[in-house]
Amino acid sequence: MEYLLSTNSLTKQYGRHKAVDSVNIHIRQGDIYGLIGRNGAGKTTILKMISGLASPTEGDFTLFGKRGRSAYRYLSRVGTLIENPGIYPNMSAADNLKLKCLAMGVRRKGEIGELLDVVGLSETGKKKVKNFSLGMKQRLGIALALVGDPDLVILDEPINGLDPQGIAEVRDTLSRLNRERNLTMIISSHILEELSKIATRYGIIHDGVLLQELTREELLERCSERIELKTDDTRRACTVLDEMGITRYKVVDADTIHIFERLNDSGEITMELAAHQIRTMGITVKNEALEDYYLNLTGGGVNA
Amino acid sequence: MLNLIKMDLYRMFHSLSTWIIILFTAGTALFCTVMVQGDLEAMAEDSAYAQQMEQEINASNDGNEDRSIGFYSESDPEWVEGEIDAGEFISSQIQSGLLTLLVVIFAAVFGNAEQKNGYIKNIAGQLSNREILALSKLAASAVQIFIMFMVFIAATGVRGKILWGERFFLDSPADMLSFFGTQYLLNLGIAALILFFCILTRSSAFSMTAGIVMVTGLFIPLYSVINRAVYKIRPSWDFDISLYLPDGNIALAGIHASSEVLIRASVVGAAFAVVCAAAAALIMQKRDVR
Repeated sequence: MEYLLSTNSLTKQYGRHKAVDSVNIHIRQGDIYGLIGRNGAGKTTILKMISGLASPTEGDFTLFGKRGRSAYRYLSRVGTLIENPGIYPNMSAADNLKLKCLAMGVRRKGEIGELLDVVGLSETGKKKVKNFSLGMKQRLGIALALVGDPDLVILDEPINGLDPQGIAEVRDTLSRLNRERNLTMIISSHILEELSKIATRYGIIHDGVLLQELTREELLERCSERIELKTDDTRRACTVLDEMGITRYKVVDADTIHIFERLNDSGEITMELAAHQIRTMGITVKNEALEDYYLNLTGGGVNA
Repeated sequence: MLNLIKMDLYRMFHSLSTWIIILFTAGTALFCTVMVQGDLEAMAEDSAYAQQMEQEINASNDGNEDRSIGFYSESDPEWVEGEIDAGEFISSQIQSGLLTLLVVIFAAVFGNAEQKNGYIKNIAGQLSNREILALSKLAASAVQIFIMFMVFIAATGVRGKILWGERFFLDSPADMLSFFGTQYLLNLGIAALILFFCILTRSSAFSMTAGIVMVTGLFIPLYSVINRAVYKIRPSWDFDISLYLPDGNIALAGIHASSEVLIRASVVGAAFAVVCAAAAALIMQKRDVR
């Protein structure tokens, strides 16, 4: 089983509008998969479909190696927090967790206490959830998703509306769970900068279409500071770079090389290429922020 | 299924609304006995009023009484000085629909809470059969309705004993049991209908309003139109839609009603419970969770 979860041309159509259009995402065991997209891009709809809360119009998904209807039997191993945490405001955090434990048939003693510990709510006692801060409610939502020790947790915008401290708390909790329990997570967000601090793999979605799927390394590489060298002979240019002791470079197309070291030596590189009769068509230092990369990919800054 | 029933029962007994409704049930029972006491005093002073009451009770026992809009219960003129049958007394109060009104409010509040606060999203995806979410709510409601009936009967009994002492007694436990069973099924049928409305519309306001309108008899003009339409199509058929609806049968199925009336009422209640539960379960299974 290569992927813990993969979708197969997953599509959701409301009337004539395709909210999700033939999306194929791939998640491995232990991944923190960041699903990035603007508001209304289709993130929640995808997550609802792979949580079993909404039926796809077309396509299906493969979960734990089982595809289609047989995959639905394994949804009991998937914990979810979709949109805002669904909680009973007049009950305590422990009572909210107790309800889900009863529904899932979880009878292990100490389960509720442990979950409250994990999300840092063990001191809330009988305090009613309606008196919780937004961050505490989000953490309770995460605890609810963790009931029954699921193998995959789906979190939709878990940092939405939180202050910086709340964001840091939720991020730390998620990182710890991934590290300590090897828990696979799918986290959606429209805040790429925040997601980039924990995600190990990304899916970028726009207008219901998955534009790109890439690893953390690939994303950082695309967004890191680099010299972009345009030349008429990349093969000979690589030889010159090797001779100069430059090893961290990548040929991205027939006439472009990205160099990730000695960023201040662009003049020297040009001179050396000239000495070997290699024409330099252009040489610039580029530094694309994550947010810019995302905006360029999705085609603009509105609502991003 | 059992796990979900446990969850819904836990939620029910940990909800403030449940205890408020139970408190109101006891309060309604006490209010009813006080109102009857007032009625008995009025009849003692006015014999014409007592005579009118007698006629209404006879019509009610025959199952021929016309339903009126609002809540209305009858007090037997014989109760003024004679013995008061607890069964008749409780029957009269339950037939008025006051207890059913509380059942409607409970079902609307309880049935829609999970959808309203979004808790359903935490569990619906992890269940292989989502329809049991609807059935477990009906099962929990059945327990609550039973408790409400018990509280109503107990509170009425205690208050009756305090007010009328030895004159207040239960004449026929068997009749009381069959009346209780029939009314329980009818109220369960109404609760199932309200749960169905909640799941269909995702609105407790709509469900509660529809239930209240039904219980208070505000649909009577509509039923009348339907009856007249059926009569025009087929004059030989003595059709009355009220006979096939739980609200109509609640008013008719008294403790001294004929076995035919009680059986029909039980069948109507059970049929409503089953059909509405099945429809609610189907919607729950087929429709996306918001």
